[in-house]
Amino acid sequence: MRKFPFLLFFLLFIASTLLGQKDIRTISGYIKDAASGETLIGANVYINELGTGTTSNEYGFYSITLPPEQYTIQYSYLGFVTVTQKIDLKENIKKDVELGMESTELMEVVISSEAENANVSDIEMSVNKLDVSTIKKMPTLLGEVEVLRSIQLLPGVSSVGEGASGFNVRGGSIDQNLVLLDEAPVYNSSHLFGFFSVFNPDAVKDVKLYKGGIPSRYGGRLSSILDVRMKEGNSKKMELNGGIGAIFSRFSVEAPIVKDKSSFIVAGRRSYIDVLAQPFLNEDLEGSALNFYDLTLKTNWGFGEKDKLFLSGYLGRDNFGFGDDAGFNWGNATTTLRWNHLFSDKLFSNITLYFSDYDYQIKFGSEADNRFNWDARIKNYSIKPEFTWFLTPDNQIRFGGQSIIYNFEPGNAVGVSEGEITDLTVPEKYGIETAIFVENEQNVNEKISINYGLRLSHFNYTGKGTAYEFENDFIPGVRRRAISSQSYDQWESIKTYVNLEPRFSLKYQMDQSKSFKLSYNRMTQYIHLISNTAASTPVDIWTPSTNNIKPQTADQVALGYFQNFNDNKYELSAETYYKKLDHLVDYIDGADLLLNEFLEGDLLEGRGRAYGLELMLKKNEGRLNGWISYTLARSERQVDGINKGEWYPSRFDQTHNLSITGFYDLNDRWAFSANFVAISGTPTTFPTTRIQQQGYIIPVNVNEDRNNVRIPLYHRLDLSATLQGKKNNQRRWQGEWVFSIYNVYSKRNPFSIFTRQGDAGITEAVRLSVIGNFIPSVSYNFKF
Amino acid sequence: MRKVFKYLLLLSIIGMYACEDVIDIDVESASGDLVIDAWIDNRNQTQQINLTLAQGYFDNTNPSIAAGAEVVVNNITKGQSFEFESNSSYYSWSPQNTEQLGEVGDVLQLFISYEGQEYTAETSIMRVPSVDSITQEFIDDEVFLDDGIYTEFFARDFSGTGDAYWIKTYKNGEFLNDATEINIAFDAGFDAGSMVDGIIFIPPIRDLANELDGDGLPIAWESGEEIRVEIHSLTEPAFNFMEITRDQISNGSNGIFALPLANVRSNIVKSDGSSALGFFNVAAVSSMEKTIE
Repeated sequence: MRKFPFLLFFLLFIASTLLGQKDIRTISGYIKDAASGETLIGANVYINELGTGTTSNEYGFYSITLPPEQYTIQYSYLGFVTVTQKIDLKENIKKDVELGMESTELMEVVISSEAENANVSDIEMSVNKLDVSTIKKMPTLLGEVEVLRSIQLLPGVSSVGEGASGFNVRGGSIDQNLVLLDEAPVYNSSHLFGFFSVFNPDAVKDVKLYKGGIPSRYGGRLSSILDVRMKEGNSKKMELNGGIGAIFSRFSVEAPIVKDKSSFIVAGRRSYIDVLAQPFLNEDLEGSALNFYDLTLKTNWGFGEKDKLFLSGYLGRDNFGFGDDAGFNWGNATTTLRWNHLFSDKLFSNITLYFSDYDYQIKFGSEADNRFNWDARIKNYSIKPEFTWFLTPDNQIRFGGQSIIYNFEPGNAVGVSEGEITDLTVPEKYGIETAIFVENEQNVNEKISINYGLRLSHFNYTGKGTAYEFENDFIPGVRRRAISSQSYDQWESIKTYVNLEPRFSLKYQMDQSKSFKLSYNRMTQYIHLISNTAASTPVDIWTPSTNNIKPQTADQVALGYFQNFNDNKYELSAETYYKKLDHLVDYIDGADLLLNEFLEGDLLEGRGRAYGLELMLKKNEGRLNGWISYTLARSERQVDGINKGEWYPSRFDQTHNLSITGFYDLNDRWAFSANFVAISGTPTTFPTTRIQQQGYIIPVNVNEDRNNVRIPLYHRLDLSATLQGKKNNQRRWQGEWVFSIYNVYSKRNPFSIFTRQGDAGITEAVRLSVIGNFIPSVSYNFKF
Repeated sequence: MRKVFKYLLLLSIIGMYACEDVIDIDVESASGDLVIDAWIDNRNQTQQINLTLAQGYFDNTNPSIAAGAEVVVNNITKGQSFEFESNSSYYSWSPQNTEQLGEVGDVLQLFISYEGQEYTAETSIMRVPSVDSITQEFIDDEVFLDDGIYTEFFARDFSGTGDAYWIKTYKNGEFLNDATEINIAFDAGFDAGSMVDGIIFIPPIRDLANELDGDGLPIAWESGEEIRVEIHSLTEPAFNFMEITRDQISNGSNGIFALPLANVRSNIVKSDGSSALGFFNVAAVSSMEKTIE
């Protein structure tokens, strides 16, 4: 916090450079979809006379400040009809604009909803945006539209395999992604382990993934920010959406509360395997539960011209129960309250308050005297004020801060046997993360734009709790014992960390269709997911940085070349990156990660490096559109105590990752899509040797190699066809059938190859294919 | 825990699409090193140490016996030496009269000389609590369990942390030696961090006095059958060794939640200072027997 005066000075410095410009006016307002009243994020505002412009922010707000003259302003958003307005900017003007959809469906945009040459002209790099309309067209597993599976078709994004929760960005682990749903973090983004994500496509408006060049307003994770924004709800008329698929049934309602002023959306999904299975369950299993559901709500109210409130919430749960005796459930809940306030037409502010919670519960036994109950959770509360100051068309300053209070409950476990109670509870942990940031996006001249910023973050690991000190001289890779302990009171500081995180990006635009971009970011992560299994499980716990666990840090440099061809019909991007990771968390052999008060003694500290080349070619228009993405990458780790202390490829290292996604619109009723992926096998560790002890055959890798074997190439083709109901403008009901086949040619792709010990001491290698067959599915969606 | 996930996956629709195939895989193998299997105890009965040669992981034959070694256990505390004699397939020592390798608290050393290389290890005999009782109960109408008789054993951990035990159950004289039946305890709980000390062993541990089927579910006892429960004391490194052994042998059934390969850590060193394969632990043992009624 002592560095705050420095930031203030920085702000004053920027302000002082702009004081010369006195005779200026501002035009500002919101840009919306004319049909639904939804605000449009990233819509383009272009001043013809000056050849300059701006884009609308996350709330659809734009502001541009110019000398008082006459201008022709174009408002555009891909897929929508451009609106052109002549304006005499004699005084400050407030102008809200509604854009109408382009009439023909075939013109619909595929990936991006940005200015036509945004790929080239935007300062952002290493960023991918996906429209929900695009996500909805992709082939799916069991007919379920999937946000998290879709982003895995983008360069630099991968997963350890089917069914694994989370995703890996540029060689980072799954906990290095900050997954935000309306600004609240979602700690476990999966239903049914990793098969389906928690995001209901009917409630999602916009998905944006930052893989690099991360602006200073974001922080807290090393590898990426996945910013998912929910729809506000139709503010023009009531709209019902729904669908029936193999896994979920979905239903959503959105409607205006006060037309054009406030609206709401409620969207729910529930799986119904258990309903179908119920008649087949025997007596013991009667009353069993096997379902997952989620409920997403959002509403907004406008108060006058200057204030708007948004309240959004998410509640989701996976629920498994076996008769009355055993049960297991987990889920997220988030609530976000946001207040948009216009201090002036040039100073936009948003204050976010959120609550986020992830928890799981496990129970065995239903009698009071004989039972085992175990639950764990991570809760956090945050306040996040953020200001955008539209100083001049060439300077847009953002500043603000965030404070997060964390409460970790690593495990409350109580066993009761014949009335005797055993308490295995691991005490709660607390932490406070605080950050302030400032950034300026500046157009230096027609060719060069820069965005530079700083984030100062601070973490305070606090009581109430006991902090342990562990033995220091130890053999790497062996459990360390606690040698002393000290108790702390509630909110008493145990250990603090401060980090300065500079961020920088630069665009050099050679002409309208070519640019180079360069970015650097430093990120710090104060909370860590403790997981050493191939795919993360729902019982994995989060732990704060402590006196024994340092915050993880990452430095990333990326360089890219961007070019559009053929009147922006084709977009090409080529990026290379190098990422250096420090203080990563790893585990000793045989680590006890659950219900372990001395967990820190089982952790190792390591470092990592990841580098690669990402290529993407997109075709945005025409009956046939889509993209090809290819990534050549390496992700490595070095940990004292693993692999003899030498560098080794991480579990999610994939040398080649190719994906081809295509859409073809045959006519206004039939649309087809396909995707093909081919991915190098990830590495795994195999034993070299078997030894016998007391009749047991034990696998051993005598060289202590980690990840010494590659599993074979993964490849898969998925197809999908959508049949729209007959167009009838008299009728409000619109339906569509979606037919899809996942894994068309039934490739038995390995999730992993593991060793198994069969009867009579047979040791063998086994290929595990999570999906070993083609999976056809049909689903029906409707809109009313 | 990970096993529970597997059931959940199988029960859900997704599990129906998963499949496992045995395949051939080309992996470097390392064999021929001496493997020392020296899990012995201080009872007044014949003690056996097995010396074999390590095999390549996919070598599904019986391991070769390492013959011609010199095997000695020294009780350093008492200054005694016990020579193990070579048999056709193992090395053994048989006590005279009331002879024992040592008492609780004694420090013992293993010395082996084989083909010009010397191997040594040191351990202590740790304390062991008595088995207080074995109970049986008829259980009906419980999920995953057939109706029938199930057993439980009771023993109380000593006060003070750092005690570790290997509980061995015998059914009609036969040791239940499936990997999932490996029952180890640290103090009265699962591991060093569970912080349960000085109490009766917690339920999942005392419930493991039942034979398990291939899915890890208990098999009911028949009346007239004999149950024997033995508690063997372990040093902490021995506990860690057995914990990794148990997790690694059954890791295959964890599917997508498999753990990375972890090596068991030996307490035996070669004369050049490098680590050998195998383990040396001398247990104190308590036991109880019961006929199922």
